Amino acid sequence: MQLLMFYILGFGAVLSALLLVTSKKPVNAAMSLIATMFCLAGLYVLLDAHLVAVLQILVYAGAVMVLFLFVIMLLNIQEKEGRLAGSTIALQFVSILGVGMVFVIAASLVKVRGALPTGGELFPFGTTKAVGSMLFTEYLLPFEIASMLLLAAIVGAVILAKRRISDAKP
Amino acid sequence: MKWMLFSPEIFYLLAALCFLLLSMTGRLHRRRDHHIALALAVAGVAVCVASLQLEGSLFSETYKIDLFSQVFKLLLSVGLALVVGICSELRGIQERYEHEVYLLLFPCTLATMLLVSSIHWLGVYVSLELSSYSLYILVALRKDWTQGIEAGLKYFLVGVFASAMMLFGMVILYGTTGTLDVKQLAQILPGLMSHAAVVVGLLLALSGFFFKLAVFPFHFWAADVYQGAAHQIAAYIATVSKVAAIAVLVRMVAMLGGSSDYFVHVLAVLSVVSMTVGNLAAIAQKDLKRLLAYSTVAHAGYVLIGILSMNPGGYAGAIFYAMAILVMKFTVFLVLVKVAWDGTNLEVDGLAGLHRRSPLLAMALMVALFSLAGLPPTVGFTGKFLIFTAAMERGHFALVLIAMINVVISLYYYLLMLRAAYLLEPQEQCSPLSLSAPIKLLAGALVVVMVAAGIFPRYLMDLARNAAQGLM
Amino acid sequence: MVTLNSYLTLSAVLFSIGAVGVFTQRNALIMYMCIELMLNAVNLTFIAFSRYLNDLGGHVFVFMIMTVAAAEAAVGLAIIMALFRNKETVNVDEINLSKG
Repeated sequence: MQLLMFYILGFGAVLSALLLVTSKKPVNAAMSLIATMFCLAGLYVLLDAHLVAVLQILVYAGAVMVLFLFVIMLLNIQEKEGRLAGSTIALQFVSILGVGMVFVIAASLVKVRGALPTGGELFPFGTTKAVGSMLFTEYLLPFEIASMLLLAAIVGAVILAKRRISDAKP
Repeated sequence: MKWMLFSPEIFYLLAALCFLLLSMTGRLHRRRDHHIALALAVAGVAVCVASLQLEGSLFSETYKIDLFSQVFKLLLSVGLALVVGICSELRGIQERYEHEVYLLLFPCTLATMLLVSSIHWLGVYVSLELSSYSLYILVALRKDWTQGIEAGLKYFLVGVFASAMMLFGMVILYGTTGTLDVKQLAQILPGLMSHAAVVVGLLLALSGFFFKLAVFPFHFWAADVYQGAAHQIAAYIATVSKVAAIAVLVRMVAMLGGSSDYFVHVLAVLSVVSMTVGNLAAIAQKDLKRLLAYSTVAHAGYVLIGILSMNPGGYAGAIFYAMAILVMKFTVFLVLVKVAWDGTNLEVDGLAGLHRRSPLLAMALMVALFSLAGLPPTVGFTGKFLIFTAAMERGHFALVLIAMINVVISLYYYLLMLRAAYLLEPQEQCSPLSLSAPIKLLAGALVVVMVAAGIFPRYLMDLARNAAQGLM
Repeated sequence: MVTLNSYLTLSAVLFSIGAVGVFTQRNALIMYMCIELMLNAVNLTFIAFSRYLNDLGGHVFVFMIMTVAAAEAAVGLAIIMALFRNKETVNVDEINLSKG
C-alpha cells in the first residue's frame, strides 16, 4: 500500500515538475507547481511528517502560490510565446548535465548510506508537539532570526511595491 | 550574565527597531536621520570593541563567541560605520526611502554578525538569508529605477539559486552524518572525507558563501549588481558582505576541511579561475563600478588561497586580508561617492583631473589602488605576502605563481585608473570638489591606516594570528 | 516498504528538473518557480533523512525553509512586479543589464 502510494505520488510529482519546466505560460507553471506541492505533501505524510505536510499545503501551496497567482493575474503578463531557450544546443547540454547530476548524486549517496534501518515506532514522530518543543528549545535562535527576516521582507516588499514610476526619474 | 555575550547583536537589533519606529512616523529629516544612524553605528563599534575579549557559547552550544567571531564583529561594525559615514547625501536613492535604507542596513549587519558566530547549519542558513534579503531590497531601491530593479532581480535569482544549492549540500551532510551541528560534524567528518558525497556536500554547503564572496561559478552577478546599486550600497556589498563571507568560509573550512585532497583541489581550481576571470574581465571594463566588481572577484581568488592552505598562517592571512579589503575597497568607494556626487555611474575616464579637483581624494585613491594591486608599503601587500607564504609552506607553488601572474595583470587596470586620475585632462572644465571637514579627515585617516598597517603590521598580524589560533 | 533510496532518487530527480528549468526558462516568474521546486526537493530529502535517522532536526529545518520561502516570495515577487511595471516584460533576455 505504502509502495503504491509512493509510486503514485512520486510519479505525479515528477510529471507536474516536468510540466512546470516546459510550460510557457506563468499560470500553467504555477498550477503545475501547486500539483507538485500536493504530491510532496502526500509523501511527507508517508514519512510521518504530519506537521510539515500540513504546513506544505497551508504555507507553500496555499499562501506562497496564491501570492504567485495574484501577481500573475495582477500583471496580466502577455509574453511573446514560443521561444523557450536561447539555443537548442545550450538546452540539450544543460539537460544532459542536469540528468547526469541526478545519477551522480543519487549514486554517491547510495554508497554512503547503503541500508538504513527504518525508524522505530517509538514516539509520535513529526507531530506539532514534537517539532514545536524542539523549535522553542534547541532552535530558538534561528526562530528569532526568522522573525527579523520576515520583518525585513515585509518592509522591503511594501516599499518596492508602492514605489511609483512617476517619482523614479533618474 | 550570559546575555552580555550577545550584546553586539542585541545592540544592532535595537538600532534596527529604532529605525523601524522612525520610518513609521513618516516624517523625513534627512540630516537628523543620518546623524542618528552615524551615532548608532559608532556606538555599535564601541560595543564591539568592549566585547572583543568575551568568550563562551549560547543557545545550546549552537552559537560560539570567541576571539575570531569578535574580531570579525568589530570589522563588520567598522564597515557599517564607514558606509553610514558616506550616506550623508544619498543621491542614488529616493529621499522617501532613506529611513528604510538604514532600517535595512542595520539588520543586514546584525545578520552578518550572527553568521560569524553560528556553528549550526540552521543558524547559518537563516542569517545568510536575512543578510541577502536586506541587500536584494537595498539594491533594488536605486533612484534610477530601471537599473536598480534589474540588478535586484539578477541578484535575487542568482542568490536564491545559490541558496538552493547550499541547502542541497547541507542536506547531503545531514544525511551522511545525521547531525546539523557543525561542532559534532567536525568530529565525524574527518573519517568520512574519502566519500565523494561528503566532499560534494561540503562544497555545495559552502556555495552560498561562494556566492556572497563572488567566487567563480557564482560571480556573474557582481558586475551588474555593483553597477545597478547605489554607490553606498555597492560599497556595503563590497566591504561588509565580503568580510562576513570570508569569516564563514574560514571558520567552516577550519572546522570541517580536514585533510581531503579533493576538497583542496576543488578550492584551488575555484581560486585560479576566479582570479583569472576577474582580472581579465576587469581590464575590459569602462564603468568604474563594474571594474571594481571584477577586481573583487579576483580578490576572492586570493583569499581562497589562504583558506585552502588550511594552516594557521593561511587562516591568519585570510583574516588579515579581510581587514585589508575592508579599508582598501572602502577608500575607492569613498572617492567614487564624492566624485560622482550626483549618484550617477562613473566611467574610469570620469576620474580625469581628480588630482587638481581634490588632491586629497586623488592621493587616497592612489594609496588604495597601490594597496589593491599589492605594492609594498601598503596593507594590501602585507595581506598578499601573508597568504602567499602560507601557501608556499604547504607546497602550493603553482598556485602562488599563478596568483603572482594575476597580480601583474591586475596592475595594468589599477594603473589605468591612476592614469585617469593623475594624467588625463578633463574634457570640460571641472570645478574643484568641495569636501566637508569630516570627510577630509576620514580620507586622511584611511590613507594613514593603509600605509601604517603596511609598514607596521605587527599589531594586526598578532590579532589575526590569535583569532586564527582559536579556530584550530 | 519504501526504501530511503527511492526518496533520495525522487528528490534528486526533482532537484535536477528544477535546475534544468532555471537554465532553460527565460521568464523570470517561471525561473523563480523552478527554484521553488528545487527548494521543495531539498525539503523532501530533509524529511526522508529525518525519518530514517529518527531525528527531528530535519523537520525543524524544513519549517525554517518554508518560513524563508514565504519571505522570499514577498521580496522576489515585489521585485518582479516592479520590473514588469517598469519594462512591461518579465523576460530576462530583455533586461539590458545582464549583458557583458
